[in-house]
Order: sequence, then C-alpha cells, then structure tokens
Amino acid sequence: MAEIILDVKDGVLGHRKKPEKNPEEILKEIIELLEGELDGNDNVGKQRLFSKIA
Amino acid sequence: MGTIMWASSDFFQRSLNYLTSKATIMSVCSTKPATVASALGTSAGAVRLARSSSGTGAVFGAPGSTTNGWTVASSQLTGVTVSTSGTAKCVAVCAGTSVLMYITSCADKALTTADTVTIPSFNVRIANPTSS
Repeated sequence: MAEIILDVKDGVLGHRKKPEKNPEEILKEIIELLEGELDGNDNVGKQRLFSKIA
Repeated sequence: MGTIMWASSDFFQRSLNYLTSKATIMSVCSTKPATVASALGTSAGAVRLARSSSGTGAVFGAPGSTTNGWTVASSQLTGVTVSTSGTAKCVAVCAGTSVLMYITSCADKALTTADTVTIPSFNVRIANPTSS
C-alpha cells in the first residue's frame, strides 16, 4: 500500500488560451522553408506549390 | 473607448457557490466520465479508481475575488482508498451521487488497489468577461 499525492490542475472558466503563433505567421514560415528547398529557377515548381498552399 | 465588459460580484459568487453548496464527493478517474454513474460507480463502463465517501460534507470553501475574476478552492482530501488499479488522469466533482458537476485534469499517476490517495486543494476560477 502506498499514499499517492495527485497533481491536480487549477481551472479557469471562459478563459481562451491564445495560440503561440497565428496561422499567417505559420504559413509564412512554411513558404520561406519551401523557397529554400526549391531551385531559384524552378518557377513552375514554385507556382505549383504555392497554388496548393493558397 | 475600448470594449466595455463587466459582471457583478453577485454573478461570480452565485456561479461558484454552485460548487460550494452542492459538491460533496470527489472521484479519481482513469478517463473523463460521461455521467455521474461512470464517475462514482464500479459497474461496467465506470472509470472510477477511487472516490471520497458521500458523508464528508462540502468539498469547496467560499468563493473569493481575485485580480481577474473570482475563485473557489477545494479542500484537500486525504486517505481516499483506491478500489480499482489504473492510471489517474482526472478528478470529478459530484453533488452527492446524483450530479456530475465539474472535472479537472491531474498529471498521470499509477494507482494500485488499496493504495490511498491525497487530492490536494485546487482552484476553480471564473475570469473577468472579455469580448469573444
């Protein structure tokens, strides 16, 4: 037998936790990463990728 | 002028007094119970691992104001006997055996039958209103 002490969380009603980054910032980071992966002259590839993201 | 939002002290107190005046049982569960029977029972579908007895009286104190809204604290419960082995994931607060009132998370903790559990005090707060 053991005595177990729980770690119980406090609660806040009606509180909305803001996301750490907004969706626009996340998308911008993804585009920058993709641009880094693509050949600078591969415009067709870029257009295809960006049209899918949009 | 910015958005104007306000709630009276009476609004907060009456809301939190729901816990203070009604809550009498806490149950440690292996997953979120859907009903009071699941939170407190031991039959098929129940998720209770340990529960306080129904005769312990109130399990919350009086509400009080904070810098952001109002809060009410539960009383620490000790020596709650484990009836079913499993991993504790949440604590359910019930009004007797009839109403499931509130559920809060706890850090995962392995419990074994016949262990005893301490449920430390925790807070339930209603924050000041903000625009949606």
